[in-house]
Amino acid sequence: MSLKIVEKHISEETVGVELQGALDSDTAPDLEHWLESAVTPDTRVVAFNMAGVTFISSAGLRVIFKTLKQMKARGGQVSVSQMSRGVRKVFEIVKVMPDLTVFASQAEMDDYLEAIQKREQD
Amino acid sequence: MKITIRPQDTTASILQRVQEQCPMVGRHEERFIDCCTIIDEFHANMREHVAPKCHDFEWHLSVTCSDRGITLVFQYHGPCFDPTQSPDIEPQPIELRRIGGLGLAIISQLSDSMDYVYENGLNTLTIDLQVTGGTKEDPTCH
Repeated sequence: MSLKIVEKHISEETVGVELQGALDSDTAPDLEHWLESAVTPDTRVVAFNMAGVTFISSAGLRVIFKTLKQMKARGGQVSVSQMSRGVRKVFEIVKVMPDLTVFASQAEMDDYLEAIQKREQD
Repeated sequence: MKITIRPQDTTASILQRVQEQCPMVGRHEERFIDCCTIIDEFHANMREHVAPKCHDFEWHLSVTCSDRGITLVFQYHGPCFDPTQSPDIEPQPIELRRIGGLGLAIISQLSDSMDYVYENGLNTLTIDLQVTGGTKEDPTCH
């Protein structure tokens, strides 16, 4: 069960990524490398769509947490949408949820990102 | 039946063998997702902390499944390490955790019971995941 990483280009300041598969100790380094090239000095928001994530372990959480720290350091944020119950459970265990912007659906996340884009343009 | 696992095995290949040898695990979908996370955490700990760069190392996994839930038995030869007594399993924010401790916390919180035995150099960790149970209740809520 590999991890498929699909980039959703949103704007100069926002990187969107759709994940499909397992985010585990084998696949987390792939996401980390992908983010290293996708996140630029201008990036302020990283939006993860987790609808296709079958399960997550601490290796995957660390990549998301590292991204969160990086974005927070530059006044940005990380958002996560469409977590399954199993994935959400792991996020809740490590008590990282309060720092993340969490959306139940892609539509909610799209509205939020649209608002950010609008703010960038203004 | 025991599955023999080596550091170079991927978690995906381990989970595939689990499903082949114990097809019933699929009946408890939500708990099987927890099993996937637990197995990956254990495998990562073996590779990174117990036997780093040791390709000949082996550990063993037995999976049994019933209407009441799933039982995982992890076994490996090595120094005694009782994860049930580790301070890492206590709830705390991710940024305060030591490296390696997060996986143990996740294993502990996803399981309904953990039992550890050390005998003749063999570490045995037995984990139960009940079908009706979820994550443990926070004791501070009482």
